[in-house]
Amino acid sequence: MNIYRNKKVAILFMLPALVFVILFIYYPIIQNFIYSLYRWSSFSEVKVFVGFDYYKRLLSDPIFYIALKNNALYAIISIVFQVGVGMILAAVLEEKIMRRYQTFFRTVYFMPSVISITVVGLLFQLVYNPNIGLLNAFLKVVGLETLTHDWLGRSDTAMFAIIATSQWQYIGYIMLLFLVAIQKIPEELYESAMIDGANAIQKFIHVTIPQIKETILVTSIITIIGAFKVFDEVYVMTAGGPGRSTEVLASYMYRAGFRNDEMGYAATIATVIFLITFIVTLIQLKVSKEKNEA
Amino acid sequence: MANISLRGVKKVYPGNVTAVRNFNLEIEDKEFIVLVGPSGCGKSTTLRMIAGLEEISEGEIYIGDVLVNNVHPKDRDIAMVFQNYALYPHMSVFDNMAFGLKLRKVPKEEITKRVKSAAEILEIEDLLDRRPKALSGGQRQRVALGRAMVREPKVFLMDEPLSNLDAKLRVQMRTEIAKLHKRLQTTFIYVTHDQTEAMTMGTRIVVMKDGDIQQIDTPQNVYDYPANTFVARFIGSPQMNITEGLVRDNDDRIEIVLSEDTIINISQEKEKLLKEKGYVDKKVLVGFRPENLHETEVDELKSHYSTINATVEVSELMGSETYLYMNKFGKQIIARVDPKSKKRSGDRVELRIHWDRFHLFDIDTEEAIK
Repeated sequence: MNIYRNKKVAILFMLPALVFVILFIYYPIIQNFIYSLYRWSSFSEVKVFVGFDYYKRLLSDPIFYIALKNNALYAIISIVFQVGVGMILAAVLEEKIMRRYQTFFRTVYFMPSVISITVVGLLFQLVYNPNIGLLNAFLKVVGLETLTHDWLGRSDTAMFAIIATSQWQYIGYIMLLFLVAIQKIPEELYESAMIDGANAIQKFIHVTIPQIKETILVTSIITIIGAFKVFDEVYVMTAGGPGRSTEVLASYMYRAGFRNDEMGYAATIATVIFLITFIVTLIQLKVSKEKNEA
Repeated sequence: MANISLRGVKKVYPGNVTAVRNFNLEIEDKEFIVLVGPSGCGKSTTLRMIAGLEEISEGEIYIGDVLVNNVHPKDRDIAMVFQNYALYPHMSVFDNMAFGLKLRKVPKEEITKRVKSAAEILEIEDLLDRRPKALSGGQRQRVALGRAMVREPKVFLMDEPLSNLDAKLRVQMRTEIAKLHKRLQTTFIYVTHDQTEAMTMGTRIVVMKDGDIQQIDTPQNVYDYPANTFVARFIGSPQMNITEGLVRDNDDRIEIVLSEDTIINISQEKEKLLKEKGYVDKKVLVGFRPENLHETEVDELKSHYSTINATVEVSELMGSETYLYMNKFGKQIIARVDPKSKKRSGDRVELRIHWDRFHLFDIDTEEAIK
């Protein structure tokens, strides 16, 4: 028998992984969808089939749209700052004159991402504190007293304050991914571009970016998916408030499930989160497949 | 088109590593200069300093009459071909070649014209739409050459451009680059560790070792009159045999004793030279090239020839010639003899060498005696 085409053996090798994937990924996804079709509570055994009622309710729920908007805001700002600025930071650190100091900056920028989100959340609650916070104190010192603000306590700035925290925490991580990608680019390409007459910005546009396209795509996807799954930062810092101004899908799901005890509705929101991240992943797969074929 | 002048150029890397020490060279317009030497001799560093990719620690480099020490690479009017081609992977061949011109805002029609004509010369017209990934090594090197050509630079710099090609392609590209030089009538500076490339391509060769220039001369002169034992060994393949010998005055004839059974004569000029310089009764290094050793059973040579007797250890049949390896004077001696030679391992062989063909070096400085 051809040892390279023995399907039975191949399946046997895949079986353990397959069992885990089915048990802990596919089954919960399907189960969650089924739950979303019932009205049920964690305190009773009764499940009432309601069909797609919860989906209809979700579509006319204003909080859902606030959450969706906040998630989208999260994603857009994260793409600009974490991916965009992270990439530029990496390119700057890879510049000849900066390389000597790279280890220092790399460590400094990366450090926040190893701190627990809860700790970072509490830390920034203090930073944003209107009375004893660093931010307001700093603004006062530099004479921008008019800008001082109850950052987390006001609905117009609370969401941005949370998003800003998240940028601070993860920009170093994304930057590190870009550093690795940039370091893989052969030095001769830059030298060749230099002789061809490219300045630093042109080298970045014509050499660096085309060479790290894959990393840009991957980090963008990670960031978008992360933005639609975000929960901890919001829960720790504002728990969705003030009012519902910082509600995101995940925090709304939590509220529906564990505060209001509407498990079916929570499952519906979970399904929507899954669909969004699933679609984003499909786009990524399609784009990177096209790229590999080109 | 330009002459290039390197004056007292020095390169010291951080950590006090000296890569190039006091490099002085005047390159005439349209010359094909080859920098050759073993790895780490500073040849690439020198080229990169001319290109502006490395800072010059000391000294001055002029391109034309312009001091370029602090001129940006893009403003030096040079083009460079790299060992691993350094083509932009995401651009087509056309765009690769056009990139430098686009950055310099050359009009579109002009770019197309120049790229087309370079592609024609290099016979890569059919490849213009392809990506570098879809090209063979030889084709990529042509594109890299084309990218340099379209810029119409004053100076072409080439850093081991053939090292990544297979042996056959290397020989082919070697002649093509030489042809290209004739056609373009531009100054070429070419770095290689391959002495064959140096000999066949350069109008002048610069032999380097450990950051120092050993000799600057035409290929023929470097081969015939190596300045020291390093150059003597480095240029030529198989390498020159070099052994110790005692200079002796025997009734007005100067002889050199290589071993008890081998006493050689040298040309009268060299006899005079040894006398004048006071080498009589002193030891010198005697060099002779394998190709100048002739086997007496094949070539009957008598007058003005010295004889060396030895036992063949290994004989290598190359087809066009035969290499004989012998142990003599306490070292391995190689002779490149006529393929008609029937000598095999273990055979006694008598070799003759013309008096003119001995190279004499000082035993301490290893410099040629002249």
